[in-house]
Amino acid sequence: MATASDVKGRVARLLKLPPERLEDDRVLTDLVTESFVLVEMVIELQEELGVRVVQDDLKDVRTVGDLTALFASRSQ
Amino acid sequence: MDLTRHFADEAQHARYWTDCIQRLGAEPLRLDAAYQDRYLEAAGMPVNLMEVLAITQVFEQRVINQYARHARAPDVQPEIRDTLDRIMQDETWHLQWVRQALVSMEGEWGKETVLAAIRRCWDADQKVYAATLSEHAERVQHLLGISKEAE
Repeated sequence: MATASDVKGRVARLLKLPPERLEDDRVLTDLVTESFVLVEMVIELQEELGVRVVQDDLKDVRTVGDLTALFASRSQ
Repeated sequence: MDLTRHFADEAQHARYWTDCIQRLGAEPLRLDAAYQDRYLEAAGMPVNLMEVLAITQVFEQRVINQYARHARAPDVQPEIRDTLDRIMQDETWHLQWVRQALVSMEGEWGKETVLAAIRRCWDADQKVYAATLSEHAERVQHLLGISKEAE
């Protein structure tokens, strides 16, 4: 079980970014321009949290807050 | 391990084409965007290994079909035919491996989810291939127009 804050910490580590840059309203593609880096991060996150997501689950995910909320809710 | 070998083969294929182009007396051009980028635009970014393999399966099938068609064309230079054959040998085992891996993932993801991901990629493949063919036809028409003007 992971909280949104825990997920955010993992995202910061996986993207090698300082956590303070990961404001909830920050658009993910503004943080990382290389889309494959985002894909790798999402795959790592699934493995670390034991969560499974498919493309459809992420179609409305744009911001750091959207992503952390999704993974936090799935890991409950 | 096999997936790593698969990736290494793909890098090697770029080298084969570079060598082939140079043997034919030309220099390869750096491309701003790859054919694969169009797939990702059309199919959306994969977000798990199963979806990565689904798009890989569809893409590799397209590559094999296209290479086989190219190799059968009349007057293909031997250097090009050799390169096509060499790459197709690798692509054949890649495709078998990816298919098998996707079947083995059905237990984890559910058969319907895996098939839906593959179907989505097939749809994207059809759109991208049709768009590419249409661009190719436009270029050929343009070149024919230039050669007629020169006559």
